[in-house]
Amino acid sequence: MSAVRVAGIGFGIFGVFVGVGALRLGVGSWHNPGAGFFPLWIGGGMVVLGTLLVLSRQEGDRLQSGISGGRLIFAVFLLMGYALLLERLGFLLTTLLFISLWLRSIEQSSVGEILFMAVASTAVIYGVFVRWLQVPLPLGVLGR
Amino acid sequence: MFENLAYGFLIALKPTNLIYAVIGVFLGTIVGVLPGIGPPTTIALLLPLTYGIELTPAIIMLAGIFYGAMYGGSTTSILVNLPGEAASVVTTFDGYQMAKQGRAGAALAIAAIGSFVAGTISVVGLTALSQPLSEVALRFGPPEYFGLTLLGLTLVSYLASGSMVRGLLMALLGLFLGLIGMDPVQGTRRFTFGILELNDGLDFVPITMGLFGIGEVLYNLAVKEEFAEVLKATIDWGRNLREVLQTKWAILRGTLVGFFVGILPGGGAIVSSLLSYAVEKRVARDPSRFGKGAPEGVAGPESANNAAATSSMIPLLLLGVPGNASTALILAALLIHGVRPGPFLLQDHPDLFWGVVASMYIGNVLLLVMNLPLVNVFVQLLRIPYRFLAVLIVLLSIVGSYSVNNSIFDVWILLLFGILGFLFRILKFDVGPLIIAFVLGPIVELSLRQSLIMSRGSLGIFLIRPAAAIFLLAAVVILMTQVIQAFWRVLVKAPMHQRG
Repeated sequence: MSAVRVAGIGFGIFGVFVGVGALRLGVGSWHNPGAGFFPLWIGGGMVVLGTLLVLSRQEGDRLQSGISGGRLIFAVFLLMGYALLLERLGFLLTTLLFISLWLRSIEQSSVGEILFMAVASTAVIYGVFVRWLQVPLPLGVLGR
Repeated sequence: MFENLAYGFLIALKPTNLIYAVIGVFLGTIVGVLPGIGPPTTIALLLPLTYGIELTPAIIMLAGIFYGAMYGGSTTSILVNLPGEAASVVTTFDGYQMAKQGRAGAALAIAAIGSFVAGTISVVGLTALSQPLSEVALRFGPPEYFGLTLLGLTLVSYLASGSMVRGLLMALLGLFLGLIGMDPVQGTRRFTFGILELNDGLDFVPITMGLFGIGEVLYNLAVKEEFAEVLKATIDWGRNLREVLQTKWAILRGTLVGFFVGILPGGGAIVSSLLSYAVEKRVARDPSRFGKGAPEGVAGPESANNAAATSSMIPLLLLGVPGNASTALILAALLIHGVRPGPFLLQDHPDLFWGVVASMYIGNVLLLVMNLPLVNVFVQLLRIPYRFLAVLIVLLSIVGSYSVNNSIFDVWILLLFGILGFLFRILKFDVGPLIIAFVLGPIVELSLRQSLIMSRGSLGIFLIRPAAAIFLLAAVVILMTQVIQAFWRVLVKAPMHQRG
């Protein structure tokens, strides 16, 4: 089964979920539409179009070849790690760690490049958000 | 009109506004040159920065990025055969061929001067149309707004890359995301699953940064593309200007096509450049020259995409209906500052409207002055390894999303939409309709419910009001044609194919 058909099934199931949620909210009547009135139409539309996507012939819809899954999965885990550690370790430590791991493991950059990028980009982001825009980024362990 | 424009120039020429106009067109040129970062990504990344700036300079900068990218995009199309942004794809057909024949200078001059002429004529059109159009739009009530926004969403889905079914699915998903939170009429919580952070709805910044920023980085990580050789351009003003003059009619045709396509919701720069290329081929005495270095193949589309980028500000500012992802993001910036664009914008915020319009005149001159002499400098940007840009995009996205509410919840939303953005990209689902529907969703729903309450449940209200009826009829015709075609393929052609 092609990936696009799987997406069609996904949209169809999601449409059913939206439709059921809309019915629970209450659709009201034509002269006094309720909170679920509009979502019901959206859910219904998703079911119809998702079905059309599943049934239609998928010409030229193969996924692009040469997709590097390993780097991608590692990148997603790194991003999740950043979100988990940001408030615990603080912006500065998390960002330095994140850039080092990203450039070393995903891009195989040299130590010099990693040091340059880690310091330069952390400084730029810190300067713009903390100094200029006064955004209180988490201090983490450095603030204790 | 001239008084208003003069007032606009007074605003645009203030040092702060002028600096932001320069930053905008400069950044626009850079993102136009760099493949992998388009105008919507850049505007999305810069949205959090607009919190710290006043509204008028912020919009001047974002608009500058949008139309500036149209100039920059042509540079890499011509010299590297690599469109820096989607609207410049068509320019590769003949622009790169001209460069290979040693006529890179001519191709770049045609693109830059064509863009300048088109951009300027289009701003004149925008200036002239704004007052009468806003007077018409002032008469719009909920039924007309429902018809207009529905037509906009239909057109955006119809013109999206990939099939219309996919475009419509993305629009429906965007509408759904837009209604998460409090129901605007009854105050009921919808699809919040007891999560407190969802009570006020999903925030625009993490969604767009995820779909464009993180999604783009993940896509580029997964699919490595090699860059071609960068050709050198030498500008010979005398010879190049002669070639530009030979394409004057193509520039004017491209301007007209771009201006009118840009006004349509969903029109925008990409469609206008494709349409203009088709027009040029049709009117050419020898269409076989196209694809082999025909100057009209550069002049028409490049003029069209610039004219469209400018004219797409008309539905955005005067009707509050964005026609493409970039203008949807500019709308979000306006909403962040508490300004809802529409026919009242001219009365309530004349400084913003006329300041932005006047800054576009200035921006076009700046781009012309900056682009031609610095073309070989901008091309050197291609030497910056994408891995460095990727790290910066990721960090800006995370910190930008966090800064909206100082909440890690928004970072998780960013990551979720980053993964979705990647999946949509490889499955060829255009995220443009999703973004536009997400912004327009609350207006569509509210205007539908208000119309039904006004008419005591009668759908006839959409038929007895001429403007609403025309908008809805056009939307229904487009939808039905596509649905019938899709059913025809599923029920008739596919079984025949299997039997055959």
